[in-house]
Amino acid sequence: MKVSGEQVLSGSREQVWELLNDPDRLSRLVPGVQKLEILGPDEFAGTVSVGVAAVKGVYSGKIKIEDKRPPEFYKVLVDGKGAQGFMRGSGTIELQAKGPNVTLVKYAGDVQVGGAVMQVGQRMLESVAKMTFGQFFAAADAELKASAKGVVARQGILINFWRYLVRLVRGFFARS
Amino acid sequence: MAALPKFIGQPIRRREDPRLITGEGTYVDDVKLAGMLHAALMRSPYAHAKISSVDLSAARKHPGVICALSGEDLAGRLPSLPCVAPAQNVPEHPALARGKVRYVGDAVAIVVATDPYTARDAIDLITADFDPLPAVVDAEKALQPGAPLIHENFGTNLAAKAEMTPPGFDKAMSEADKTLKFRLVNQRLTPTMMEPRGVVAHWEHGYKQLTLWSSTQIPHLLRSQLADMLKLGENKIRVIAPEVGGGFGAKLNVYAEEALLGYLAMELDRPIKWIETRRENMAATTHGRGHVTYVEVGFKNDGAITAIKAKFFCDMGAYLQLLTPAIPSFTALMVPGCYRVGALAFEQNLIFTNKMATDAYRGAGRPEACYLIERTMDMVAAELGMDPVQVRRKNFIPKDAFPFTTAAGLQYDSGDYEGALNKALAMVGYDKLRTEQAAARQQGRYLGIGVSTYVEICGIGPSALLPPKLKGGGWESATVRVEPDSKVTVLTGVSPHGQGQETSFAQIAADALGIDIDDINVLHGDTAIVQYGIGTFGSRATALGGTALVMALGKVQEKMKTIASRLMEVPPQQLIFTNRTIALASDPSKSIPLQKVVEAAYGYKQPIPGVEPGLDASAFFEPSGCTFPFGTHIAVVEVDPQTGAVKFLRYVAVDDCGKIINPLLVDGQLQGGIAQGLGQALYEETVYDENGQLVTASLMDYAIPKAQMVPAIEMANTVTPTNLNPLGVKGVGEAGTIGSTPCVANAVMDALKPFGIRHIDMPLKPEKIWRAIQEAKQAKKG
Repeated sequence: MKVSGEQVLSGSREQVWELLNDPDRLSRLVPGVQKLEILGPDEFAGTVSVGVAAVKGVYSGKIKIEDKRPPEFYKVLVDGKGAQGFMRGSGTIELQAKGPNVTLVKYAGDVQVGGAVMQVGQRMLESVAKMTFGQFFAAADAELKASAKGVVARQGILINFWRYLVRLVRGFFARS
Repeated sequence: MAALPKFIGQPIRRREDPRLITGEGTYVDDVKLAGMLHAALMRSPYAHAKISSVDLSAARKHPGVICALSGEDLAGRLPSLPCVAPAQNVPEHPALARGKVRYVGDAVAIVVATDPYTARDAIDLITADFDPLPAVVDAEKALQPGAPLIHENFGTNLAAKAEMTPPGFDKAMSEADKTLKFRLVNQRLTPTMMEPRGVVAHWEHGYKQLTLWSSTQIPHLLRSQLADMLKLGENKIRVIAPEVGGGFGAKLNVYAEEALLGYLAMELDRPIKWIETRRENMAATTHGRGHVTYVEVGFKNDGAITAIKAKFFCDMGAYLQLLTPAIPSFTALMVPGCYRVGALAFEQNLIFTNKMATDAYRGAGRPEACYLIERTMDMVAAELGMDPVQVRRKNFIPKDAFPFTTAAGLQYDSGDYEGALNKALAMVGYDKLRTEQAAARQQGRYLGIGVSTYVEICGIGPSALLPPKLKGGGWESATVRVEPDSKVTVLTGVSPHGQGQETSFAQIAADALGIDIDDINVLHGDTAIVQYGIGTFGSRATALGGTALVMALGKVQEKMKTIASRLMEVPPQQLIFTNRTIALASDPSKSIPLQKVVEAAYGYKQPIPGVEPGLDASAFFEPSGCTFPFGTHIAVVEVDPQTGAVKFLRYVAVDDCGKIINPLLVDGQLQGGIAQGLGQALYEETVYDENGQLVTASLMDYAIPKAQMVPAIEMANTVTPTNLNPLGVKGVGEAGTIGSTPCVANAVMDALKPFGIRHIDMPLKPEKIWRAIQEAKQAKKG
């Protein structure tokens, strides 16, 4: 499965870079993260709970960051599995400064998915991936805006889903 | 008592249906034994991977789990699963994968627990580490240098290669006025049966006897293979095929689960049940078809075919199941179809891929051949601007040429291909339809008329044609027991699972003995009750099993006549069976009740001197050759150019399966067969993605035709009896599947002719058709 997209975040390229390299904050922002451990420089172990159609499961695995070029690019390798299947693949993150407080994040990835999650949920996989990315970026945007004001943003599944919807609607009007 | 009718030829309703439709049949999952355990399997999510480790400790500790085993635990304890068909490279096929997994669904571990839910939960507690390897999904690519090897020890992904170029082939090809070359895909299919597989194994330690219930088409052949694997005498294994909810060839096999459950029931000394889930069924029960064929055909300007060359790439999957490499050989043999093809050359490459094994699926090699030759006929017609019907007539083997030896070397017993074609053309109103089609095209409507004139091979025999390792030949068996009260028990070696032989065999026996069909009980599918038999597959049951029954009935009749002739004091040759009596042929009023004869046979008063007591007989029928049923199917479709959707307007099927025992059963077999065949033409396709992940893993994603997708079928028969068996029957179980696929494909291509489209590979889904139309339009503009 190939995933790609771009999102605009409210922060300087350095602020966004910092956020995208901070496991503590990321673990709060990525939907479904149950645990994220630092194994070494640029190497993490994590547990995520994801539901795809009728297949809900917990996946644990490793994440590795490679080819880092701060503050504009890194490559991420993912290898995770659970009782319901596995995910393996790699992706890239690219940051472009669009203004003093506006950064464009481009992401692209190629993941191989297998097991029950593939067999039953394959038709949903792409939409689930899109929604997960959407929720993450909504949360990240809120985090960046809050830290600019010196406050801490509220994070949670419901509020990030709401933020995701708001961004979707705004994005829609921005396009038209 | 009222006079009894003749039963053969009557449309008698299936006697098995009342119990089946009221839920009173016993399927494997209905078998419940005291203390029974339940098994579940962990299957590989990877298409190709090294197994680094399988950690069963958490599963073993789970409450309710009795045992958990991986492939390594079974090493040296359970031999390789059998493939009885010959191939150059037959891989080791462990019941649980060892070292590597080779397809999504490959069994990695088994858990036995006190209930099925615990077993399933424990599967989730197994941690297995896999080291993924690149997967080979496409059979043609699997032969390219550098392709990942599925079985390293062979140094190739080629399981076997067969070639035949007869002397004079090049000359025949050079005599052609024109040649055409094209590529055909006969896509991989999932033989979706209503009841998935299931096994119950019961070891009775005191008796040293194993009873195994399995949803199988071949109880005796399965017993023979299990006896080998489990090192038990064949007299100590009892295989029972209870009600079987469809097989379509996918239950003509010996599966890992059958061996595993037999083995574990003996080890644990407890009965064990395993019932396949639908997802397991889609991933780990054999698939069918999966051929890519490069065809070269040479023909004269009048349509006469001078030569055909076919190069096959046949997808075997990762392992060879019971008959996997044998299936494509039927394709090669049947390529000439019902035509006098001048010469035939072929090359077959049987190739390993990281997918579930293929094996028999309704038609088993013949649908592939029929599709090839019938598409070829239409391609030739299109090239020459001839009517496809004319091209067929030009090449037909004439009615008076039988027995006829084809370019593939097979001897066809009988046939009248023009007869069936003419009848179908008259039924559909062919000439008028062509006029309507032309008028519709003027209005921008795309009607298509597709014809297929098929022939197939049934009742495979003599025994020399079957692989010796199968431990059973091309014959079939029957026993007839007239019980002391004149009720009759028939034991047949075939194993019906929807074909209706409990009805048709009762019709045969009732007519022979002059009794009512309700006085006959047909038993099958239990190796402890029935004499050795071969089973139900390849449309063989009535031609071979029915004949064995006729032979056994003959033996019983002889004895009853001997007894009656003593009692009546008339010569036995003058006696007939009628209306529950044995009567004088010249004067049926001179008769003796059957019951009196039976009483004499069983010595109610005193035995008849010189006549052995009792009244039963067995017979084994070894055929001298195969039968070749044939027919013509015509489909009329309309293609919507806006959406690419195909709608049926008419479907006419004229089939010739020789003499008919029960027309209702014949129609039923054809209906189901046609539904499955048009499923291949329009909807069905087993899809693996480029990494070997099974995409069509559930019935949400695998499109079998539903009731509204199957047209009303106008059916008729021609009857050309065979002299290869006394019943004159040929077989009909697969005919519908074989004839319908090319007929529907030809109809769709005929509809698309105005766009200049010659061929689209199946399944002919709206999207594909729509794209082809758009491309054709673009090409015209460009």
